Amino acid sequence: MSVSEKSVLNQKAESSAWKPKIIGFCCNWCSYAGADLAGISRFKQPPYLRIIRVPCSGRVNPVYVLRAFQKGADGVLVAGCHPGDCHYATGNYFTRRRFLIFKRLLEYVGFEPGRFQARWISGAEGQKFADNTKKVVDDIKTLGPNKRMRLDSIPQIKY
Amino acid sequence: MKKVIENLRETAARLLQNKEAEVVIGWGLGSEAVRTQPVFITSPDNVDKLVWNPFCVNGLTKYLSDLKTRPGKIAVVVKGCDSRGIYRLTQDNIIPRDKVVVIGIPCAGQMSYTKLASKMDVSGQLNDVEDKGEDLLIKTSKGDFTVKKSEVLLDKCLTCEHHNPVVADHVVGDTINTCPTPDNYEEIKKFEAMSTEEKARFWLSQFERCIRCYACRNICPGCTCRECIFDAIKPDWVGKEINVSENELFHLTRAFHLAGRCVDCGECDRVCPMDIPIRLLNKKLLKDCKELFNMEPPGSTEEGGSVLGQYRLEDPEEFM
Amino acid sequence: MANKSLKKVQLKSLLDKIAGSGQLIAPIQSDGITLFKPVQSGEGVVLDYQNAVIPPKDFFFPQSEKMFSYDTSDPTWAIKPEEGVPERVLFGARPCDVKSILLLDKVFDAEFRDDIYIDKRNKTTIIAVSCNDCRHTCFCGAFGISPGEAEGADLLFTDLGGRYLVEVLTDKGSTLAAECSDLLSDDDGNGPAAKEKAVAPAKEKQMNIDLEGVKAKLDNMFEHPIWAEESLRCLGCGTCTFICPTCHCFDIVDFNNQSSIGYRYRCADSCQFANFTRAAGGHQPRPSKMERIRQRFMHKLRYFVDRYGDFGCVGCGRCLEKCPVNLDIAQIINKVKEVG
Ligand code: SF4
Ligand code: SF4
Ligand code: SF4
Ligand code: SF4
Ligand code: SF4
Repeated sequence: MSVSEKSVLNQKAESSAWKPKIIGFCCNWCSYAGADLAGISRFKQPPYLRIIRVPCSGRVNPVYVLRAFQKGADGVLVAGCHPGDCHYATGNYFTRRRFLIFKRLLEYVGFEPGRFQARWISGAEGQKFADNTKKVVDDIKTLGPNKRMRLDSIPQIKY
Repeated sequence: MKKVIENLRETAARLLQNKEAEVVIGWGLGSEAVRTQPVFITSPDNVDKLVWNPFCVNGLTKYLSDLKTRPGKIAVVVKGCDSRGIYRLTQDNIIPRDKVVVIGIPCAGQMSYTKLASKMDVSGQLNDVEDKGEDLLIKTSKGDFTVKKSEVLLDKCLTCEHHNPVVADHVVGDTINTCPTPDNYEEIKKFEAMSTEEKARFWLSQFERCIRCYACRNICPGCTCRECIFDAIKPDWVGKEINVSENELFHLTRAFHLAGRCVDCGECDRVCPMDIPIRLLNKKLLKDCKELFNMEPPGSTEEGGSVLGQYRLEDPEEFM
Repeated sequence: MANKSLKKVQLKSLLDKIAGSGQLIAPIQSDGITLFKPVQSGEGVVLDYQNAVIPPKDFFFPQSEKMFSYDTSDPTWAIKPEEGVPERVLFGARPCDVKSILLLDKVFDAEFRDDIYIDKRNKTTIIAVSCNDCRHTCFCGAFGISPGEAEGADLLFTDLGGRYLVEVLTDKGSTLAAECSDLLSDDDGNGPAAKEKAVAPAKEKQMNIDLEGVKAKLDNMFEHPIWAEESLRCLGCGTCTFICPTCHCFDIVDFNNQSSIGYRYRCADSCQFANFTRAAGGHQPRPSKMERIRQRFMHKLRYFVDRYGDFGCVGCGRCLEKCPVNLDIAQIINKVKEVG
């Protein structure tokens, strides 16, 4: 088996000890507020989403997504205001184009569909935030741990 | 071909004579029969160095970005595909349109060095090329060779959308009337149809062998950032280490930075020393931008810009 | 030790045997290009190739390699050296590439001794293979290298049609030959003459480049306009230097995955990159492509001679073939001879 073949496929969770690590880039004005609302409303959601607050979903550079995978994320979510509601008026229209394309690129080179997701969640949608977190976590659990791009598990051959 | 060369040299001499341009960037004979090399002509006495033949593969527009601080105007010779690079550079505000004098040559197709080298002795010096319809008669100091055009044509020329340059201040050569053959992305569809596992296996083995020489970036008329993300040291966005992960980060980022901006000149693919099919990534992005946002081939009109730097309210919605 | 002979049909068994008792590195076909890779057996090893895209230099001086690692949660903060390579055999190196390793020895194993390199060197037995045919870009003859000689290798194989002539060049080679003695027989004495004939086509076909007077001329060409002229078309990519068997410049970088564990690695760097000479504070002693191109050719054809008494190029032809803008070192040599 060549080096790449070994690293190609993400083996399914070998042990039940594995807990998914999901990075969520959430815009300050909507999705982050939505997360807040989900919290104060005490909606139940699995504790695997680690949120990074960004000013706007348009701030999310696709390199951040790849970097997250490199550093060990099992899944990445980008969440922002509904189109039309952007705090900066148009930021998320750019986000939409960008990640429609980027998601397809990732899948084209063999990332499993679902590893990367994007979602519009407003500040009033606490329930949607919690439901979405559940969905993302379920998806990632089905996919298992991500090995692709992880810097701490690059196959090393000695030569 | 002879008439085109004469015309080209005359035009170049006139531009230099009248100070309409300070330098003419074109192709000159290379060190082997079926190679040309970029030449930079500054005096009307040297225009004889300029040539035109089916081996003028190099895209020359990127040099505009190198030379943009030179005083005076810069003339550059372009084929159809290269000409889209002119609009890439002007849309990106790399160089003002009125600083550039575009000499366009309608092009029926260029021949691949690699394919030619497997069919003939390419080591001599080129004396002449004759177009015999289906065949090319290549006369070199090591003998004459006849090759079938269809066997040595660059792949990109099979799906050429602009045989005639989209922009030219001076056209040398006759307009080409063969119908443009836009890509229907059959090949990309084949790759899209593969299973996730097959895709991963294919791409990771390609990324793994990249040596990060950045030839693909350096030839690209869309890669003109003052400081490239791959050169940045603080922060070091992409590690310098050569491994499959950093290489993949490089490849996906490079491709994505060209999404909606790549003019599909195919140069990155040609220059890669490791034969990585970079074009399959660019083509995928072209296809998606076309399907999702109805994008024209980038660089084919003066207006426009980057598809990802624009939006429409009615863009497809998948994230609701 | 006397010359040996190996039946061609036995070659695979020989490689299988070597692979079975240690690491074997050999040229294989990988997605359309020839590359040296560690292999598990003789299956798929290509023999009639003309130079791999990446030279076997990579097994002595990899494009990127870890130097040591550390863990700051360990109270002693001990530096953990990298485990070395296993004992291995490099099969199929061409004479030019073998010579390039001797040149690297001058850099890494002389005045300054580079342990990581030397470890790899000591643990590798090199089996060179003569060239029966060559690429039209080859010009090893210019540097006194012959397609049928491989000083620096431990064994030299030459394809004589039905059999290989096996020349034993060093003690290491003789040990390996002894281990494989069941597959080898003694040469009947006709080997050397047959070899001359076998490599004649390669000698004939390669470019004839004469280096007479080039070094002396370059000594006075630092300010010559040729560099500005030739560098105009250069893209400043790393192709020519990264595929060159003698280029050996590297950069040292620390990596930390935002945890207590980190490592230091070195990776090839290229004098054609702008960042190569950029100093802290932004000073740039080689600000344009002119200085960088001059550096590359001067290093190979002048400075290396001054410092180590040999040219820093072996005429493998890789850079000629792969440079995207046809900046051809052989052509440069000829131009240097012509200009005033
Ligand atoms: S793509 Fe078109 S214009 Fe470009 S080289 Fe091929 S035929 Fe000529
Ligand atoms: S040209 Fe090829 S090898 Fe060089 S950086 Fe680009 S993809 Fe990698
Ligand atoms: S990405 Fe490649 S094909 Fe696209 S413009 Fe750049 S060099 Fe040309
Ligand atoms: S000489 Fe050629 S291969 Fe080397 S940096 Fe310049 S363009 Fe790249
Ligand atoms: S400079 Fe070119 S020809 Fe000389 S050893 Fe390096 S790659 Fe080979």
